[in-house]
Amino acid sequence: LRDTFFLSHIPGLTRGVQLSEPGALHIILAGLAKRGRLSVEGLSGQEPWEPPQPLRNTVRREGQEVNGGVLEITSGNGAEIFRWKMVWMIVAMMLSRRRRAALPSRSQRTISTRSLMVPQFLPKHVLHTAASFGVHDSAQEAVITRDIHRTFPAHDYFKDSDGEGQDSLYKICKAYSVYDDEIGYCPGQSFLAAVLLLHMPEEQAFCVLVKIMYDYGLRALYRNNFEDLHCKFYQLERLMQEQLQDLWSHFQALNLEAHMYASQWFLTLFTAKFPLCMVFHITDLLLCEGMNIIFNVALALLKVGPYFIV
Amino acid sequence: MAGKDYNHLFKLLIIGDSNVGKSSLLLRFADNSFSGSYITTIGVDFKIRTVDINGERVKLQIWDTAGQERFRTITSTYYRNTHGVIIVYDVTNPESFVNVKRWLNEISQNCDSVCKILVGNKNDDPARKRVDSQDAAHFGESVGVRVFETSAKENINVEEMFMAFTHMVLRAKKQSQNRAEREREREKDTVNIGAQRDRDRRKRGKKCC
Repeated sequence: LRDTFFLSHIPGLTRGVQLSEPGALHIILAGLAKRGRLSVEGLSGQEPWEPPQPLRNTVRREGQEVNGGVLEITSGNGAEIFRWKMVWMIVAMMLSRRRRAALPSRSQRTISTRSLMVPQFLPKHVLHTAASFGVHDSAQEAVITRDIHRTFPAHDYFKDSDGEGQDSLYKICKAYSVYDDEIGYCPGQSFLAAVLLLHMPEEQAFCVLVKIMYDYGLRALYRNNFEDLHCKFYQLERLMQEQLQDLWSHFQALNLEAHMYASQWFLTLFTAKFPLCMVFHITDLLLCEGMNIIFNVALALLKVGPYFIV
Repeated sequence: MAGKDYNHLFKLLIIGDSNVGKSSLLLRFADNSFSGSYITTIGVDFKIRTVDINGERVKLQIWDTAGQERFRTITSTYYRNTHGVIIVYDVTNPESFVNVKRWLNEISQNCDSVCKILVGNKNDDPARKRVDSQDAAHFGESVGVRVFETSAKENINVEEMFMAFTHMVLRAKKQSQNRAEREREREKDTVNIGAQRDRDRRKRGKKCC
C-alpha cells in the first residue's frame, strides 16, 4: 500500500474515493490550515466533520499513520509532489463544494460504476471481437505497442514490459482498434484504459472504455480531424473569457490558445499527467455526470493554476 | 515584472517520428534529467530555458510535439511564429530517418524560411546503431541542414546541439535585421520624386492662403 500511493489493484482497496469523501479532504485541509500552510476561504465556515467509524483506510506516510487517506505519490520530486497535492486539493474542493450533494457515496458509486457494464451492455459479438485479439491484424498494432510502454511507466502494475498490466492494456487497446474500425486506436486512450484496468478486470474495462467512447462521446473528439475537439477548445476559451477574464487576457497576450494546453486534458480525459487520486476522482465525476464535466475540471485547473505558475 | 530578463526570445519546435526521443532531448536540455520511462506526448508540451550567447541572454521556448500521425493536423498549427525547427530521428531506427524527408516537406508547407537542424538521437550504443553517420551527413548536405548525433540518455552532444542551433537562429535573426536595416538605408538614399512634389504642392498651398 505504501509504495503504490493508495492504489493497488486489489478490489476494496482500489478506488481513490478516500479523498472524494468530503470529510477526508476537510481533515487534510484543516490540518494544513492549522500548520499555516494553506488558507482556504470558506473552510472555517464548514461544519466540523466526524470521521466515520471505523475509518476505512489508514495510509502510512513517512513512517507515521495518518488518518483519512493522505496521498502517497511515488514519482516526481518532493516540491512537485507537494505542488500537485495542493492543486488537487483545491481543485477537489472547488469541484466538490457544488457537487458534493450530487455525488453518490462510495458504496453507491461502486454500484453505479458497475451498472455501466456487463452483462446488459455487452453484446456477444463484442466479447467475440475482444477475444479474437490475436486473429485480427490491426494496422495500428505498432502504435499501440509503442504507447503501452509509455503509459504510467512509473506505476508498479504497468512498469514491466511483459507484465500483467501491459499485457491487459495491450489487449484492451487492440480490441478497441478492431472493434471501432472507423476511429481505431486513439493515442491517449491507453491512459484511460489503464485507469479503468486498475479498478476492474480487463473484459469489464474494455466495456466501460467502449461505453465512454460511444455513449459519453469521447469518440466524437477524434472524428473528422478532431473537429469536435476544436469546438470544445472554442467553448473552453469562451468560458474562460466569461469566468476567468484576467487569465484569459493574459493568455491572449501570450498567444496561448486552448489547443496548446488542453489537447492532452481532453483527449485523455485528464488521465495522463495528474496524480492518480485526482484522476480517479475526475473519472468518477465523468461517469456520474457526463462529458461536460471536462469544462468544469479544465476551468478549475486554470483557476488554481496561477497560484502555482511561477 | 521589471522589464525583460532577456535580449532575444526564440520559439523552437521539435518534430520527428513517434518514439525517437523528442521529449527526452527536451528534458535533458531543460532540466538535465533523463528517465527511461516517459509517457507518450499527446498534443504538445513545452519548456523554457534561458541561455547566454556571447553575453546576450536568449530565452528559448521549446515546443515538443507529438510524433504520431494522428496528431499531424493539430501539430501543424505550431509552426506559426517559429524561429527554428529541430527534426529528430532515431539512429537505431532507419524508418525514422527515411521519414525525415516527410518532416522537411511539412516544414516547407508551413513556414517560409526557418532555421532547421537534423538530430540523430539514441546514439549511445554502436551495436544497435542502424543509421550510418556518413549517410546522415550526406543527406544533411544535400538538403542544406546541419546534422548532430546525440544521446539524451547518456547526455552526449545534447547541450552542444541546442547551443549550436541557438547560435544559428540568432545569426539568422541578426542577418534579417541587417537586411531590413540596409533596405531602410537604401530607402533613405532614394529620392522619392512623388513625395517631393507633394511637399512642394503643400508649401505652395500654404503660400496661397
